[in-house]
Amino acid sequence: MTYEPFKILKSTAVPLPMENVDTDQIIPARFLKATERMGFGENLFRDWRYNQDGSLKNDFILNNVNFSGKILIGGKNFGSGSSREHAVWAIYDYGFRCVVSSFFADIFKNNCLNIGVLPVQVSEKFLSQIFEEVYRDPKTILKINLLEELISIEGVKKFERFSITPYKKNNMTNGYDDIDYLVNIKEQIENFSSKRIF
Amino acid sequence: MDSGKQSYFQIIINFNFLIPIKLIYIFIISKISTSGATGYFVEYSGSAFSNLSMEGRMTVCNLSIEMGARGGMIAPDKKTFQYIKGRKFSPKKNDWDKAMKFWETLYSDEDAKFDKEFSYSSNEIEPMITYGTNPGMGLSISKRIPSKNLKTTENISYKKSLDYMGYKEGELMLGKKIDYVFLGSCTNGRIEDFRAFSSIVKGRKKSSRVIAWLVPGSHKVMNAIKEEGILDILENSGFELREPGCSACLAMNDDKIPKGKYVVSTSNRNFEGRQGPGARTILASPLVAAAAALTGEITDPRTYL
Repeated sequence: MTYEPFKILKSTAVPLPMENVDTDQIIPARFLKATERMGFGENLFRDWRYNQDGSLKNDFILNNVNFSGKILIGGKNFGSGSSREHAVWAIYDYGFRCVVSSFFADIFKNNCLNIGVLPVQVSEKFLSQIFEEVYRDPKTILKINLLEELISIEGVKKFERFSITPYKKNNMTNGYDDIDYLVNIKEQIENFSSKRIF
Repeated sequence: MDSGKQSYFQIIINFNFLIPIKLIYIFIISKISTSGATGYFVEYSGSAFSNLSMEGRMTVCNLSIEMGARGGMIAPDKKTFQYIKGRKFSPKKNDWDKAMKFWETLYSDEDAKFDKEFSYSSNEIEPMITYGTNPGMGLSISKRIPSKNLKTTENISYKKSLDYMGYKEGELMLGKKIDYVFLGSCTNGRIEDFRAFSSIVKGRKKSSRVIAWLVPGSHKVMNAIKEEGILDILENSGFELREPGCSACLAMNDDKIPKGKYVVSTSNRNFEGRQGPGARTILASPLVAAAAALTGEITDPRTYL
């Protein structure tokens, strides 16, 4: 087990209505030199969150005391750019367990699924509803039910289905990453590679 | 892993000379967007790609990720096999013949159906540059920054991006002042990039307002630059080489562009802060970078060809 299993999550959420949020914003390259996964949360959205002198930028959402929670809501094409896993480590380390968006960059999405952050892809319409409700009342609770593949906005009875492959769902609910999976099918891999020249 | 989808791009070239890869890249992504190929493997074909060296082809495939793709591929041909033969880890003797038999089957059938197909011809392609903070925000060098009337979240992102760059909708990119030029990165630190750059600056002088960082991709490339006499050309024009490496592509070491400064960069990414906190990146091919280094502003390299 690599991370805490994910089954059902109920939490308030942090809205970030930006499109094409790239991994250089999530964690700038100059912070990538650590060799452990811990501690990246401190520099999550570093240049949006802090001024160059290290003081907080008050207009950034993570510095707004009204918004907190384990769910991050982002705009379309979230996680584009560099494939750095550190981006997801930073999100996880900060305390998020779920990112909701209407579209995810592919590698970012797969890194999420491997690291224990559930990427929930919803329609543009539902995403706007979430933004609307969360801005109206920052105490709005979102419920992410991975077992039933259902995301709902508590209190207002709005919900939508999302999808995940059975393989990744199984991994997430058990806290497994791809390596755990590969180790389990070692024999089949060896069998396959013995038939190849290179 | 789920298997990827497929996407097929074809670029037909009517030019007699090679189109810079970075030009193809900014062009395609400006059409497809940074998420247009998400989940796909992209196969590139057409003479624009078969004309490229193996290094060039690898660069193109590397850049597939910038439109969201899982990977890029170009069908093998004689050039490919020639490149592999005799290399350290390539199959030898009998194994080579067996491998060739297999490799020769590695092309798409003529009647293959793809999920998405795109075809462009070279008369649509001009020198390209970016004006914003993702690689999809690119345009032909002579065009104006688009005025967009977008819905909320898109508009916030677009305005934020232009504010970061210090640009306004409708402005012309040609003639905009620049402070730095960066020739390098994994996708443009090859010997052919230095040949292209030096072909423009040869016999001319670097603008005194420009700080230029020329960074070969490897020591092998650096040696070739010296052996081919390119270093002399560069030095005579006021340029110097830096040690091979990633350098200002991602600002992990001290090669950072200062806050608010403009850099014409041959690297892959123009995200906010990518080349240093507050740095403003304009992506371009080595030819455009060379022209900008001479004038200190965005300049059409065709005036020097």
